[in-house]
Amino acid sequence: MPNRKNRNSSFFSVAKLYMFLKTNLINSKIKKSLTTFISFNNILLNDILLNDINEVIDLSRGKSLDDEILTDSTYYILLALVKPIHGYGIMQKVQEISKGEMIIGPASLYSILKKLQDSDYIELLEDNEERRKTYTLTTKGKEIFKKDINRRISMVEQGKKVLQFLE
Amino acid sequence: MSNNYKYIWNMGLAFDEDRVLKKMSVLAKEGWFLAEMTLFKYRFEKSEPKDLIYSMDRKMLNEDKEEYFDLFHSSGWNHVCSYGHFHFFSASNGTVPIYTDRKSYLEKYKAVRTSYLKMLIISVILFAITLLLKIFVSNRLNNKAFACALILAGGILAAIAVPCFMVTVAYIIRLKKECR
Repeated sequence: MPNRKNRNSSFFSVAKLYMFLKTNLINSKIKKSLTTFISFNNILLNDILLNDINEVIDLSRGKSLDDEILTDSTYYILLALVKPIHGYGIMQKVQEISKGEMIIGPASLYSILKKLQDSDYIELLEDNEERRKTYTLTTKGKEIFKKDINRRISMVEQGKKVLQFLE
Repeated sequence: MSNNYKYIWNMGLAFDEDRVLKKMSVLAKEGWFLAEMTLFKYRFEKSEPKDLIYSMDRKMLNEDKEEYFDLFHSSGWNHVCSYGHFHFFSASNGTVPIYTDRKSYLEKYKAVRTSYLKMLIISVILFAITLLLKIFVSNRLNNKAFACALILAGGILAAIAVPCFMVTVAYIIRLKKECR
């Protein structure tokens, strides 16, 4: 979250400005309207800061996507990406692998592909003659994916052990 | 000619995205199809009635425009029109939604909120600077042209800041509701 620092600093600059105006303003009318406006803004900024704190709690497992647990959609997309494949192919493949249990919409797919590319999990295949862009897993992506598959396997194993007690 | 077109006011996607998308679907059943979005209005054209659903996505597209629209087209969503970073799509009833996972769905709104918030903060700071200049510099200089320029700049900045503020608040409220 590279933006938090910026938001903080802009929050403080608004606060500083407010203090400055408070001590220096002679015109009380302007002062009054500014006070309401800026306090309004403070509520807004506090709201955003709170939102950020929530996001931090959300990501308490790790700061970046690197340590983040893959969502089910991302997991299935990576499953489809074992062999180099283009965007639309991923959608079909995911539906095929999951027997229709997992369907990925175009906006979700595009966003996830962009994010995977930004985190260096996948890359564009250079020498393709096709019109469509072809993606492939990077070494880093393979490592992360392997870890996540193993995590899911152990979760399933643990689940299997208790399944008999539930019947 | 007037019978071939229909217009609906654009009240701002931040405030009535869901309502306007539903309205488009109702109009399609009556034979009116979205043709264009402008700053103030949506334009609809007359054709045979169809059962359609509409969706809107907001994405900054660079050189990968083709891939983006290709993905939508292959999954049954036809690109209707775009306005800036807003892209409208229509599909037959029952098509898989454009967002199927919560995380990227929420990120759509987080991204808009952040970009409007940035604009809001910048315009508020610039507004404060012009205000300070007006109070501390312009009043002492007694220069009419300078004072007028400052008032003009302040007016423009306020005209940017107020809508930005409303839009930011609208998206914050929306995200709050979605996260509940």
